[in-house]
Amino acid sequence: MSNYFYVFDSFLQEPKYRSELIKIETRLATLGIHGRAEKITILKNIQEAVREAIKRGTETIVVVGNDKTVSKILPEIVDHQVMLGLIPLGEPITIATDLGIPAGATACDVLSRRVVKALDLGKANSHYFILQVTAPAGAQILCDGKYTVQSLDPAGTMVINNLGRYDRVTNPTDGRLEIIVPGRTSGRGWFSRGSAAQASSVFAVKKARVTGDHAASSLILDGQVVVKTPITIEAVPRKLKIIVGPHRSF
Amino acid sequence: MAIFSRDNEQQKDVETIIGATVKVDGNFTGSGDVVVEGHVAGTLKTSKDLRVGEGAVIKADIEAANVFVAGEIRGHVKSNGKIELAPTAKIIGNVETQTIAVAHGAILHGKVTMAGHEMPPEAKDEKEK
Repeated sequence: MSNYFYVFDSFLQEPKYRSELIKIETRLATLGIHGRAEKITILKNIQEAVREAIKRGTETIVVVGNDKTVSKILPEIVDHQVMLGLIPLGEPITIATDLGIPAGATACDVLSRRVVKALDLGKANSHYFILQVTAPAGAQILCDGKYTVQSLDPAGTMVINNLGRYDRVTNPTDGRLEIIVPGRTSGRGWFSRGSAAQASSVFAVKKARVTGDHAASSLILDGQVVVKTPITIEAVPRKLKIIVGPHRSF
Repeated sequence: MAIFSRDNEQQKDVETIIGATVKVDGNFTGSGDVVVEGHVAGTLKTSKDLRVGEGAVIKADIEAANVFVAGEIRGHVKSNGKIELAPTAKIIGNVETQTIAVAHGAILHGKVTMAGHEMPPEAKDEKEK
């Protein structure tokens, strides 16, 4: 049997999460997949807790928290042979939703079934991301070293997607990222006539180089980490083993 | 040829969409269906189908399996299957294809070569005279 390590993010100390945490602990015990747990406090950071768990030989690290929690521990686990499980609580929980994992104690059943997928990750310079990178207006993207993509909308941002539904579902197991440039207006349909309908643009790439119109424009990784341009972004195929649910988006 | 239809559900399977708000420069090579509604300059190649929308402006040589054109292309167009020109289509460049359908109103300035259909000898003789 795999050994589990559960790490609970610090924001879960808020009283509103108390009853759900009790349900989670009860359900884990019932399913026989309980294990060592660490509740993050001001005295111990989450990265340190995960590093220690890996040193102890933990095979499965289960993150209890939201997308920010996952982003915080991602750099610690990507280069190790550990599996990631999620019990989503709080907001936002986009990663878990796209992986088909329900919020709260119900996620324990998904963990117990242990359906594992090897997901691609995105890498922006040295930073990994699961969901997406948002490039600012005015950015230019060189795709696979062959052609450039630029939005004609001066206020138009571009998104480089690995996982999730941004206009359409991106498959995080195909070894590619999708560059998505939203249309200027949302319309009735992509191919209907008239100004109301402008299609979003989509490009599948393995590697992209993003440059800004300013000396150092900022890119946002998974809604958290900020990286300055110029920046090289690439798909890293099958980099993260993660437990997924039956209703995943891909 | 799902890409020739206007069904939104089918368009979700398209690998590359170059929308009206985007400009692409360089040598684009794809392996899936491509829809162009915006601006492209350089070359554009795909092993599958290409749809050039009404507002599209392409200044590039094009190669695709089947091509539907409702916009403007300045460059050579090569298809391994069918080329269909809508009434709003405008092509300034040579066209090479096996089958072509040209709607009333479409503009085509260039030589059309029907690949796989050899020119009959009498036609060649006439041309030589």
